[in-house]
Amino acid sequence: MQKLWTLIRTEFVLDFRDRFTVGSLLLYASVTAFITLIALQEPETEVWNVLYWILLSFSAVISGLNMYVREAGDHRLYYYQLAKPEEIYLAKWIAQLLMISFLSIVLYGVMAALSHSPVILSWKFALVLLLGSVSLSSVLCFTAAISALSQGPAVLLSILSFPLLIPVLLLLQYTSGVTMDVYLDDQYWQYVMYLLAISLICTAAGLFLINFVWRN
Amino acid sequence: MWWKALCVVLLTYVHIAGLVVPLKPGVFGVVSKSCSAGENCEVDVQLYACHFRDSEQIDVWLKFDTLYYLQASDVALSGSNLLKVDFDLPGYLPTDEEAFTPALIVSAEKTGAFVIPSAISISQSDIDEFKGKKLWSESGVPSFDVKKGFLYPYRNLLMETLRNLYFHVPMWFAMMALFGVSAFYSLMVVRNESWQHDDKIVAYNTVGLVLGTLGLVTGMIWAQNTWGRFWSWDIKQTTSAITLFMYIAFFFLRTGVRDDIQKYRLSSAYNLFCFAMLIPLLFVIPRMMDSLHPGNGGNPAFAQDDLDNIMRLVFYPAVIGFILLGLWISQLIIRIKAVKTRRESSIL
Repeated sequence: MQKLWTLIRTEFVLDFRDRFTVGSLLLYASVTAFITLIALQEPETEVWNVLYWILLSFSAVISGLNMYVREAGDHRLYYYQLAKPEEIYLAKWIAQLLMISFLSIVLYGVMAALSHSPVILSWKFALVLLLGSVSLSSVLCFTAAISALSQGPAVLLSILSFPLLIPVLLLLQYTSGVTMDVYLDDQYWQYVMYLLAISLICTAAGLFLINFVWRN
Repeated sequence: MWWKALCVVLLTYVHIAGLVVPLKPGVFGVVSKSCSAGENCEVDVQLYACHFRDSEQIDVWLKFDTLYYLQASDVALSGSNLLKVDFDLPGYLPTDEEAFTPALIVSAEKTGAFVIPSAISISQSDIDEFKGKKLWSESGVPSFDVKKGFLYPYRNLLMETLRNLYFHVPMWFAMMALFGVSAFYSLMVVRNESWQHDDKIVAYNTVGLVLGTLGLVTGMIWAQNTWGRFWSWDIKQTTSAITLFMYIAFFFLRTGVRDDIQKYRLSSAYNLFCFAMLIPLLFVIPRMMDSLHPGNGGNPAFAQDDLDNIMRLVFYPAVIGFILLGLWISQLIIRIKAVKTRRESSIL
């Protein structure tokens, strides 16, 4: 537990020490929101909803690209001696989760400032944002590890993660649609359960496989 | 090998029985002017696969609830699959509403009886439910016998496309089976680092992907004929397309990695991760949203009593046959690969 906490803190210190990582992500999120809203200006509620999740998933994929940058080459060996791969994976997952929830709030702020936001601020919407970062990070954490270790082109992460992200995005869009009165709200808790289940499956599969992937 | 023979026998049987066995006769459509109680009502009934001849005794009935029947006063054959039917409607209807839509039953010795629900609409101005019920139950409850024999059921809208059940659905079953086998070998690789299984994983995934694509294409052609569009963003269409994307990404991952062992390692891990995602994708998400597929949301279904016993006799062999075919093709791919590697090493 102590080790996990140290790892998470290390992730954050390193992320914020070179301002490039966080800064580039924030810039990416704001600029993509700006570009799409130039064209749409005042999108309808459904469009706003879908747009928000698509932009967030794009930013999350970009953040996944930076995730394992430091573990390239000899650093991985060094890490491997210090901590178990499962612990590193869990630390990465939590750091990624916090990063995406930070991104989701910033992206919401930018989009709400640039266009009329249909979001009714409530704890239900906050829960959707949290679930969004949990589920996006649980899918991305593993695919980012694979694409980083393959040392292939950067586009590999998008190819690997987008098919897996589609069901998550579909569920998120339905769930947040409920909080914006686009869909009937009798299925809210059902969607929440499915999102939790998908996150659980992905995290469990990731934890099971990461030891095998990390060994090299 | 006995199972290859079984595969050939089953698939031959499925293709012959699936395409040759005719449908049961049915009512294709009913054309009538608006009728009202107390008048004579003329109805054109278009039949499907009946092939009546002039001499045959054909009875046509209107049916409401299970108790109230009205027999047609005159039935004339104006083509082998077209009936002109006259009803002398009594002055009152067996309902307290202004309009009602009884079902229409056609009954003949050769074809048995078959029914189309809500066939025509009849209106009434004087409402007297009691008199209506008396008038409509004068003839008593007739007995119908449904035709038996090795025939597929007739369903409105689906009609002959019903046969797609024997080809489209088993392909998905086979795809799932093959992905399952490849996930099993991936698990072996993950646990024991037994890299020799890698060729098997690739072969099973290739054939699974091909069968999945065929399943999607057969489904889309079927959808064009029944739903009117190739792609209608039905939830099952969407999730199956995502499945295919996931496994296409598997092959992309393999082309991206240079080092062989690293390639085996990462692709096995990704394969297992995808298979873990298949469970919510194919078995959970489609169940929570409305689908146009038969068996969902009030559409004509094959489930439970709808998949009748005669269709089962072809459907289950089709499932086994397509799974065996997939395994067979995968085995051939694995063996070709093995021969190639051996030749390369002998040349060196």
